[in-house]
Amino acid sequence: MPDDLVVELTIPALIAFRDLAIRVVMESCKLVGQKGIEKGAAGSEQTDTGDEGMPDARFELSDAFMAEFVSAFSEIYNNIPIHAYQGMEDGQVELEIHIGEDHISASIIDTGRSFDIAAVPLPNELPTGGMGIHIARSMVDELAYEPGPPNRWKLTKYVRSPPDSSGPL
Amino acid sequence: MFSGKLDVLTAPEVAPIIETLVAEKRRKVIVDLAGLDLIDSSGVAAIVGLYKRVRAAGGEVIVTGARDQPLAIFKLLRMDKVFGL
Repeated sequence: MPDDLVVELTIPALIAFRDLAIRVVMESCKLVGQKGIEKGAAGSEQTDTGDEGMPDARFELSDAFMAEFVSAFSEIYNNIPIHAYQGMEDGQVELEIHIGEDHISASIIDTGRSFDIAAVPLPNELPTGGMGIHIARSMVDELAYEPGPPNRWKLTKYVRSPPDSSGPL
Repeated sequence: MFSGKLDVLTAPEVAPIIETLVAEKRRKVIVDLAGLDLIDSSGVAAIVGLYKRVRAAGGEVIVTGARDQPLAIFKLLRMDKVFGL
């Protein structure tokens, strides 16, 4: 959408960079619906600090919208270094986050192995694996995967879901 | 008691603890998630693995305190009823 704010980020396809990506997604979620973001405007929140005066490393996910989107993003991102780039070196992940008045979308692009998303089964009772895509799909309004190369994921969540859907939180 | 995140990065750190609990054949294990802010599928797998293995050894697992995002994940996976959350 033309009025969306866009955040672009390219990071190494390593699990170690997952938290950095999540932080960007979290902060982006906070900006959904905010109008008139101006250059040089003072931040509306103080940085949380722990006892040692360092930024609080905990993820505050009590906001349902943010929690659900971060959950979905995290599951998709995890699969990329673990599966798409398994055994490969020097992979990268490109993120493009669109922040709108009533939605957020994240495109995740990689050049690792692709897979058949339709072949992923639903998790069984008390699963010990294979839950990630089910979790992601359930936490957002739209989840799309286009095998490549490059492989492209797109997750979209609306602040006000359509009347026939409701978030888990 | 878990706090912070139980996810793909931290779940491997829990594995030795789970192994110890199973090896000790604990009759009752309480998993307190009150301090847990974030869980992903790896974290869920760790808790489910603990649950299955302790119960297979004749023990009991009580999961308590889940809230916010972790509770939503357990509900999505229909584990809230299994764990009594």
